[in-house]
Amino acid sequence: MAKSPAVLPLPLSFPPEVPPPTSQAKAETPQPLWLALAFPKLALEAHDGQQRDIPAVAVKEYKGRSVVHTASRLAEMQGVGAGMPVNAAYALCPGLVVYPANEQLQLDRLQQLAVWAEQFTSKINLQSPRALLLEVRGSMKLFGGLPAMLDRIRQQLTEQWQHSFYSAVTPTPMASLLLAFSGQGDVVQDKQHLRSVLGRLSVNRLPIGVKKKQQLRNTGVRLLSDVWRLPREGLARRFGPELVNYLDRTLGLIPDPLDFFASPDEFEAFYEFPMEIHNTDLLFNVARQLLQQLAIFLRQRDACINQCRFQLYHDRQAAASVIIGVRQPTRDQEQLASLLEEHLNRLSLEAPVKSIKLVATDFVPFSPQTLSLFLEPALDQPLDCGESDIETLLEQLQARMGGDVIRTFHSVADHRPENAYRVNEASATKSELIKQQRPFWLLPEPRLLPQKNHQPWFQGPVALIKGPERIQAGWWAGRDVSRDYYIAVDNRGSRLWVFQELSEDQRWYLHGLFA
Amino acid sequence: MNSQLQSLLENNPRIWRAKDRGRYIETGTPSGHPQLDATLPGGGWPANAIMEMVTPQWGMGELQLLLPLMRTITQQKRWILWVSPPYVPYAPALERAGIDMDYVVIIQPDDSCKDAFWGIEKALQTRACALVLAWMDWLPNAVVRRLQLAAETGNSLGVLLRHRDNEHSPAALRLHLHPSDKGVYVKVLKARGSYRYRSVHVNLQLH
Repeated sequence: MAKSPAVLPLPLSFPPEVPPPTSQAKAETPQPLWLALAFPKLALEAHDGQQRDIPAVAVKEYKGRSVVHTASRLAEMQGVGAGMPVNAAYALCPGLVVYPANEQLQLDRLQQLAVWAEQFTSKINLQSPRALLLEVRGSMKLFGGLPAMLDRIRQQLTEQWQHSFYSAVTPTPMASLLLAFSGQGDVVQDKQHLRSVLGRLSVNRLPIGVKKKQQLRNTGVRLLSDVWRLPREGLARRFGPELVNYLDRTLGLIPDPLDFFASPDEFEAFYEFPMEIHNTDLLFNVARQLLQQLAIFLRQRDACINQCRFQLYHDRQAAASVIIGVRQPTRDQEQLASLLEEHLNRLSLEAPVKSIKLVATDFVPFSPQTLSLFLEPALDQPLDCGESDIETLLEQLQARMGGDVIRTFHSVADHRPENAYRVNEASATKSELIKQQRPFWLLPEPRLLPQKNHQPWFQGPVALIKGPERIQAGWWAGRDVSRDYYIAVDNRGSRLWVFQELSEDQRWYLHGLFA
Repeated sequence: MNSQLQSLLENNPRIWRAKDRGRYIETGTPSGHPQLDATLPGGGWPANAIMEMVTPQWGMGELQLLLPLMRTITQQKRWILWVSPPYVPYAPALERAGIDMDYVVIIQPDDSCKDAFWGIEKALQTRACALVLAWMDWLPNAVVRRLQLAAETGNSLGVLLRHRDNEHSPAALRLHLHPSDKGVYVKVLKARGSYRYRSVHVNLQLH
């Protein structure tokens, strides 16, 4: 008897019709809905400076030759395709720009995209090397329905990331990926329609070996709808159980558990300039974009930062770092950007910058300020906008002028005038000193006054008009002070605070001015 | 005259006509010195403006003149910024005068004037900062004009203390201080909205 033919015309077709889910089961667990984002040109677009409107290719070593891995749209239009030797590509398109296809770079970019996608859903799966899966059923209502959410994702990917991509939405992850990579852009909300939608695809799209694809084609199977008609056992026997298992997962007949992406604990964003730059304006524009990424990252984690650090990398020279600190934890991108601007205005670049990195490590939980329910007109409450306002001002002053320029002065209980104030420290003890007569200006050091006829002399004769007030203190602290203080007037009308040393030679000093 | 034009002229407080200068009243902040209030237009320090005090030297009572204002401001929990004071402010004395030093911030920018201008402008724009005192002698008119705008935005008063007089300064109020036995002579060099250039003697409790 002859061997059974490859395809048996059995009445039982593959797979059996899915029984419609009972309404009860539906109510219990809503079907997940997977959005697949496929980035066909990721190997090329992962390079930061890559311009989208030039013919370019990413090349890979294959059997000792450089072979085109990914070609940009313009290069494809001139006939360059994947798998072509790079010399042939040059022949077709002389102005070709060539990048290496760096797998690490692609993975990094995919992770950045996953961090970005966390604003839409918490269930994200990385499909290395160039696709993302997002579960959107749970959050699409928040974004105003699926079409609105997809619009938003598309807009951000094109405008902010400038990636070319395909997307598809179906109830199973594998079906979404299949449809996305075939560029169909379908939205299938119900499992029952999966078979007919997928049926249009060619078997070449299946992620199986070239040999098996050839085998399938030899049996006359060209489209997935042909596969659906094949008997399950025969398919498993001839093509291995993996294929049947894959098809089952694609149609949602068996569960398909996925690992979810967990974003890293620290924030890092990196940008490599297409050329070395000398200009802080350009630097600022890029840094601003990095800050925007940081702001999104912080909002997703409901966190804020006390400081972040920019690293500027030079060629053959140690990296320079710019640290931006704030007085109050923040996640406000504009605030950070304005502080950065102050830093950059003061910064002189020692060498051209090749790349820039933004790092933030320590996160603080975000505690929002409570706003009033009713919008009061701002003009009526000029006094109320207080603290945060002044904090911003002080931060800006500090950022621009350096930390030690800003000071506050407070009084300290000490009878020696030069010790009776303290810089930059809040002192709670207000002493009796306050009750006494003191000038508003104090000289940093008492100034020795020359004497004429035993009278002090300061740009002219000085007339004593009140005093003396004796101050003797501090002998225990090594700075012994025993002086007689007078209030005096010089010949031009300034009121001075002068003293005479009681020790030895009784010299006169100027110590302050009554302004 | 066209009635529309008439009503525009009469109802717009921003238009000032020399013939009815009595009508122009910019409400000022009381200075705390009755003699001075009587002289200044608006009955006090100008609000939202830049004011210049020209003194031949420091220590003539210039801070005393501003004391009541500073006291009110710190009591309202608004802030005061001092830019480049010539000497160390003596905290016990200022606290004795009723100023809450918690609301006084002093910046001492190193030589660069740009930083100082920038700091003054930012502070004037900040609503929480009500008064900026700056000891600066070199101030181009363009900068003063810019500070004037900043003061209007931030609803704050900027006081520039200087030795040299600049006749063409665009500041809203310019005073010249001259020492006397019992206080200080204040001569009004320029006041927006007033022709009364007169001097007044202000008694200060000097000792």
